[in-house]
Amino acid sequence: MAGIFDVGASALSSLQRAIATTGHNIANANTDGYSRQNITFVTQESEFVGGQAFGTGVKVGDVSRAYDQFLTDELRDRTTARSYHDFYFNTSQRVDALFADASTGLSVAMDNFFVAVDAVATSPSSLPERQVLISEAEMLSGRFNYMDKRLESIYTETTARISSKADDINQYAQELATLNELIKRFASESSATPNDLLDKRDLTLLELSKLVNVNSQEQADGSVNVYVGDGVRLVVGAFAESVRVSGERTGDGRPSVFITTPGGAEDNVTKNMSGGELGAALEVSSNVVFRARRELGLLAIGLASIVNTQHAQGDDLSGEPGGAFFGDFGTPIIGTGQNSGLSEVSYVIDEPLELTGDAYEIRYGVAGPVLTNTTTGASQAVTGDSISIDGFTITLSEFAAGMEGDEFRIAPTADAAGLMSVAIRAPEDVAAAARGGSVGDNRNMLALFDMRDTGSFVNSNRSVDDIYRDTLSHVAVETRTSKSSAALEETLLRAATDRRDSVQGVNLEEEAADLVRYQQAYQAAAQVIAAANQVFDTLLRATER
Amino acid sequence: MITRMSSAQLQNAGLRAITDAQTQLATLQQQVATGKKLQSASDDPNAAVQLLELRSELTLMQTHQENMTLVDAALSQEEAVISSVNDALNRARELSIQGRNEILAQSDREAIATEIDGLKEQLLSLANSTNFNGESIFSGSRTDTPAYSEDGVYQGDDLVREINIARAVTIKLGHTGGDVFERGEGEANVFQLLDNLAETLRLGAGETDVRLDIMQTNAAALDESIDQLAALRTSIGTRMTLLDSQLALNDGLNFELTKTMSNLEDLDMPSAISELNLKMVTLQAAQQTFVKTQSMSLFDYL
Repeated sequence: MAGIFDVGASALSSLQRAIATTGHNIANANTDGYSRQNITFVTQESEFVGGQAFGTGVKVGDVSRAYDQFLTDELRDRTTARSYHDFYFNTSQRVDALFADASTGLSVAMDNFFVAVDAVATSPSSLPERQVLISEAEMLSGRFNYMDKRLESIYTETTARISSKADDINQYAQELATLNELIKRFASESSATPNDLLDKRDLTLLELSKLVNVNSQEQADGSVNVYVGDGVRLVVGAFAESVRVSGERTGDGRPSVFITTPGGAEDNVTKNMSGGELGAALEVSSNVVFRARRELGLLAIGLASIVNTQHAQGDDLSGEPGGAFFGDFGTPIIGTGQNSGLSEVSYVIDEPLELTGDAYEIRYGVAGPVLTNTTTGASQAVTGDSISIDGFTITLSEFAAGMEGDEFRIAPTADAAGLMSVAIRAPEDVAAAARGGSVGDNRNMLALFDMRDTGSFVNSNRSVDDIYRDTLSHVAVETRTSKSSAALEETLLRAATDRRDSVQGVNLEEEAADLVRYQQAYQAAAQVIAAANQVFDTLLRATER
Repeated sequence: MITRMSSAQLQNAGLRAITDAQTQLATLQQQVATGKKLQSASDDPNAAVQLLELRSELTLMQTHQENMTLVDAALSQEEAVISSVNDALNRARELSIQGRNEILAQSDREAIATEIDGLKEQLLSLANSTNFNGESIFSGSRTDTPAYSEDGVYQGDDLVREINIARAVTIKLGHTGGDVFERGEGEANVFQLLDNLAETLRLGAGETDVRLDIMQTNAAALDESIDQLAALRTSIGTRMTLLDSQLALNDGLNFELTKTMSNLEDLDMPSAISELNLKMVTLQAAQQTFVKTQSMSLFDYL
């Protein structure tokens, strides 16, 4: 009889656990990252009486989570890809809008400028037409300045956004380190699986994978080591490192990313950061924003050069040769910055129309400084104080004083659109006449008007309009491609989410069925207790007499 | 094939159908509201670049159109002035024939000479005509200087302004004083001819033979000048014809450009609206399906 009670009681307590687990599933049906838990029953050890094995009831085997490592990894990868294209698209779209909008774009301002040139050609002696030309030139250079400022603020805002994403990465890294510690302790104290902790860690890794490419390696003690980007170590066991983003531009226009180890040392890991929103921010900053600034600057320098050269060929109303129409772009000096050597670098543009709009870098290596075109990848050794390339000359102030590892980033056109200005002030100073011509001579203005189509860059044979169209086209294609990639990745992410949810997610109908099943079993087990009670009663009554 | 679905999955699937339909609806709505199928350059990068070129081309063409109006006005003014010059020279020619008549008394010849003096003044003022901008029209590029001095000496140069009227097509705005009033290197211009005529008419009665001889030469020179004017008027006519045909060409091109631009950026409204209606039905269906499926649960029967 004690045997009957014990068998019934084992069933009751096991079924209570089962109902509780079903309840846990129902309760967490809407919890992010929750994996359905499954309870299994095993028979208790048999009792041997009279050479026979008698069952002693049931006990809980284990509570496991429905889980598939492959589906979890796939979901993480798809999440990284989707976030990447989404972020890329959102940033690229802003540049796209800036270029294509008729009210902010350059195209209309350029049209208006040349229309004003033609108007002076039509009425060269008219002071009002000359004044209009100067005003249109100011509008045009103002438009260059505005677009450059907008591009620069898109860069700054992107940097600020990923700077706060870096804070998120650091928080996730801390959480992962803590979870590692808890899981490790749990594993050492029990043979059971810490289902809810594992779910939480997977969820944290999934959140992290939105921000950057994630690779996790499970260790024997149950903890995971986490690497981000292309193998940059973020979490090892219970130790987390931290990431910092700085607006300091790399040679190809990316914000810089540093990682600080718990020891306090800081490494520049910009080149190794990829995937997710962080990776997208670096790529789009270089590929769309910085490139657009360099091309816009090239356009500004080219246009100013073409106009100024032609303008100098003519005479103004006082019979003087035409002066500078657009202003100078200055000669910037690139200081020693974070370099250990003393050398400073400056550059002068010699032949504006030989410029390419590319970005360059001088880096001191073991064998001395090397000049690299970071856009094309071509490089050459620097052997003296100065070196000329693609229409400009770079001068090193202390050639010999550079130290290995020193680097200088030179993008001669990057800031030019922001520096565009109009030098000419008085309408009388517009040189409409050919050299020696009179007040009604319009030949220099006709020639200037034609320069819009005929003036072109030596290396690419592109006119100023070609450059604008190429830039607009590049930005539009980048935006369109990232948009369709984002849409595709969204579909793939949904499919991956569906596949994971179909294994891990809670189905309430299923739980309802389990509930019915366990309830019925519980009622039956209760009947076993009742039967044992009756057997006991019968026996008592029989022995009373 | 997924055989098992979680409850959240089921709900998400229904929700996605709704949000997808809403997104498509919003895009269509924006297109219909603006009448443009391109909302940004990235919608169609090729079309965006083409539109940029077409807009520049259209702006250029409008400029050319305005230039042609201006050239047309200038040529009309020149034509009117030359017509008056022609009248004056014809009158002078008549007077020179009258002046050769031997019956005339010295006082009659004096009256004719006075009229010729008047004609010369008239011609001078015609030669120094200015346009609406105050530019002297026959001075070449020296537009701030009258073409002829008081004594009929040309003060301009031989540079006639050219105006853009199409890509790589320019037209000359007018003619120089040389084209109109001079007869070639070393020869007397029309002002000197009239001076000579008046002076000859005032010669004394005793010098009849000399007078007739000089008047004969001057009359022949006047004829040449009048012929020269006829050639000039032909040249102006030719330019106006060129202008007209270019205007017609530009109108045609303008129409083509506008049509191409419209094809690239404008929305096909009827089909967009029918698509909009279709999407609204889709959205409604998605919403109803969602509500119906979400209301089914085994728990209702427990």
